[in-house]
Amino acid sequence: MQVAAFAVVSAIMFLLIGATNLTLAQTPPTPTSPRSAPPKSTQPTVKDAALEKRVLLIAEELRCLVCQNQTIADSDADLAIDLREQIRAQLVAGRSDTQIMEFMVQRYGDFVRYRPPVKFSTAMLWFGPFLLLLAGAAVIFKVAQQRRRMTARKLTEAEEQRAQTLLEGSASAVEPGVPELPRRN
Amino acid sequence: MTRFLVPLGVFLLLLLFLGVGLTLKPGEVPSPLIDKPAPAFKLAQLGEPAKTFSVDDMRGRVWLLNVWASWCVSCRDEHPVLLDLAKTGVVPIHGLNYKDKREDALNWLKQFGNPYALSVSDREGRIGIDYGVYGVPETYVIDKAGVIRYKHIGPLSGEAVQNTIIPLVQKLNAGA
Repeated sequence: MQVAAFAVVSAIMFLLIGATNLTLAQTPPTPTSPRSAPPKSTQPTVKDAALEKRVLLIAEELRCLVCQNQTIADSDADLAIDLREQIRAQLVAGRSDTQIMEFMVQRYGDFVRYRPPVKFSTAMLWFGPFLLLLAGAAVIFKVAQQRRRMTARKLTEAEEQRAQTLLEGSASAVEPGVPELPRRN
Repeated sequence: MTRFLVPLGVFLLLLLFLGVGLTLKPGEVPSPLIDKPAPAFKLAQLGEPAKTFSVDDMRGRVWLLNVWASWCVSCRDEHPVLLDLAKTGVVPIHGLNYKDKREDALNWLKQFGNPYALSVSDREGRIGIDYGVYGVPETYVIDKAGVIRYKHIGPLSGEAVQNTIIPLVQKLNAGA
């Protein structure tokens, strides 16, 4: 029980720290200068709609490194705009989704992916929540067991009798040797 | 006894996690480019746009590539440190002027001083993407073989230069 609680608390702490770190993440300065020439494709025409959809699909898988809790698709940071432009250009050049993903990971690392690959360094990320769930289940199981033990014990015959007499409030039935309590009136 | 030991243990573990959490810098994403060849580029020089500069020009030398911009506020904090480092002559610093206007960049250098052997213009930020730049300033240490050996994210401090950059440059120069 205690071991399980310990595991749960430590796992929660682990996740909490991860979460706070993300929210506290420093945001490097975003350029304030006006963009050079607005990319032609920021106003998608009907013809581009399919392309834009693919761009967004890929961009939603990528983390914006400037504002780390947003995807490249969500973020308005300059870098996110540039990377969307990059995705668009590469799609136009006929590169596949996987190739584009590789391009990004090569430059920014696994961190750029919102769904990082399962490997040793990301094991805690992928399996931590399930461990937490297991630990929680263990705690509940233990507590339930303890509670059952507490209520389920049967009284011995003597105890049963004594309980009965006490309940009936018959002073005369109190066992010999047990001093009778003074009655309050 | 365990009644007290377990909560104490949980508390200590909590302290440990929070303590470790304080030392982490989640804003600094580890670069996958460390120990990989510096991405090639051939860009116009900021001072003399007719001339170009490429990574290969620095073959056989240890050098720093510093990503900067005139719009970058923390670059101003970093600037005196770079000027000091340039003065020591320990290592040549090359600038990658990132998504900047040429006039702005030149004015900035005129106003604050120029620590760079030369700077190149990455007008569209395309080379910045190749280098995984996501915040300016960033500084790369590149060895004689053109391999990135270290990346510093954010403004360099005097301490970082003294304790990390200079020793690393000396080690690389010694032929390691």
